[in-house]
Amino acid sequence: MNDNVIINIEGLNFSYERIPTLKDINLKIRKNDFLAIIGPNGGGKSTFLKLILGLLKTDKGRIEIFGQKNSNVLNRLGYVPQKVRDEKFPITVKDVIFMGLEVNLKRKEKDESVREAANLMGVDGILNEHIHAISGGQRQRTFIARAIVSDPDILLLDEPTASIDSEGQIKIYELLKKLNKDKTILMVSHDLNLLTKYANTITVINTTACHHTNKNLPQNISDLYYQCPVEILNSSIKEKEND
Amino acid sequence: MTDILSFFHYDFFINAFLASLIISIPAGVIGTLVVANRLVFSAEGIAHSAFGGIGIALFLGISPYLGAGFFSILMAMFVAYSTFHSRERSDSIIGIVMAVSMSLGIIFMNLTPGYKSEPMTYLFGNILSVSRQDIIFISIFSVLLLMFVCIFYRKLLMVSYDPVFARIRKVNVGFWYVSIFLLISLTVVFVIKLVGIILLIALLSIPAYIAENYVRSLSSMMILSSLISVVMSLSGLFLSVIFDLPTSGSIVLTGGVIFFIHKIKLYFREKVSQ
Repeated sequence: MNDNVIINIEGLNFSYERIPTLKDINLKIRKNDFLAIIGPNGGGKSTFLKLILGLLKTDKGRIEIFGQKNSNVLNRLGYVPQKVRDEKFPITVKDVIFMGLEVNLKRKEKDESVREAANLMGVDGILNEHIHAISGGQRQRTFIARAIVSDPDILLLDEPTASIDSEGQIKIYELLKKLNKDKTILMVSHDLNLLTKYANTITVINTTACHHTNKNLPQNISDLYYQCPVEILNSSIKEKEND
Repeated sequence: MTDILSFFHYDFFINAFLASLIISIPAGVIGTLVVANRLVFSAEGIAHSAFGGIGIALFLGISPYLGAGFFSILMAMFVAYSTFHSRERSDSIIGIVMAVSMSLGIIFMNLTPGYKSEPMTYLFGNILSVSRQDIIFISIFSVLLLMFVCIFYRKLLMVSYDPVFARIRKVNVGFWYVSIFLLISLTVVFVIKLVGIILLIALLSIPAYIAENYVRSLSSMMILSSLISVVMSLSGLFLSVIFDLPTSGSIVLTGGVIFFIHKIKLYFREKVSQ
């Protein structure tokens, strides 16, 4: 295996109630990739992330992360979910970020890590606020802070910019760009225009998967949804190998 | 005032006063977990299932509260197991458990030879019959519960707020889900004596529901909820002895009044902010 490949997915199949949700997915993700996962609703994008995180079991195929079974390296993965609990649940920004920490750290180390992650995400001034008393953008940055507080190597994000205004979306993308310097990013999103600017690889998942570099995209990117799996454009892997 | 203080000359009243005060702590703490995890109907089901245990215990000639404890734990485990992977149709499962347990209770009570006790005692509670021994048990339970919640607070918070993230952090979510149900069933047994099976859900839900609107953290919600529970229980107790009313009904109605005042306050607050 190429040393740079940190996630290796081969022949991945998953069915939900006997209906195939993902079929024969093969994907290699390299260190420091910014991989955008797009596709129509119900195409299996979130399921794909959940399989990588070990929240669902594959029917067939294998997922290796750093050459190991995914369940063995969960501490190297950070996750930002699509949706978290209802508005009323009483929890502060600080408590949310605290969840991402390793249990065996000392209190002082924990506080320091929380402050650092909050600072990086620009939520350090609102640590004691109720999570739903802040803006949607601040809330998503809080969840990203929770995902990175234990300094994972890979960050998986499930539509982190849904229902955020465009200014907030750009802010999040800029922060992710910074994080991408030392972290590999896999992000499910529908922000097709922003994705082409920030991601270096786009994978369309619509039961099957096909991969594109952001250099060979049609003008209307959503056309990709339905080209897959009929037409496979340039594979990012091929391109990187040629490099 | 002198009249109110004169109640403290009676042992039964001192016991009832202490029991109301102490039981408010587990009621507030567990009520918080019940409301925050949206388990009000599950808690109601577990409470009603205790009636089955009481009936069987009376039939076997053992302590009805032991029967209530054993049976509600059993039913809590069943409900937790049945609803953990899918909350879909959990209301149907809880409804079935509730009805079957109540039926078992009434049948076994009927079959008990020479049975004289009234089902009403268990259904609506009788706090004025609380003994010193009961207070010792309630106190020990409250201390153990508080210790448990303090030690495992972060875990309880994580599985309540974001169970998916908890799984990724390798927290055994199933174990903690079952533990919350177990704590609910134990609290139910102790609260039965105060307000009875039918009305105990009010003590677990009203204080926590109100508290949720005024706090920023789960721990503050537990504290505020316990305080509201104290106000509700003691006001109800005093009103019941002053006006010679059933205690459980007075406690719950006091809670109902606090709840409506809170709702009216929220309504006007929203009107002003519009």
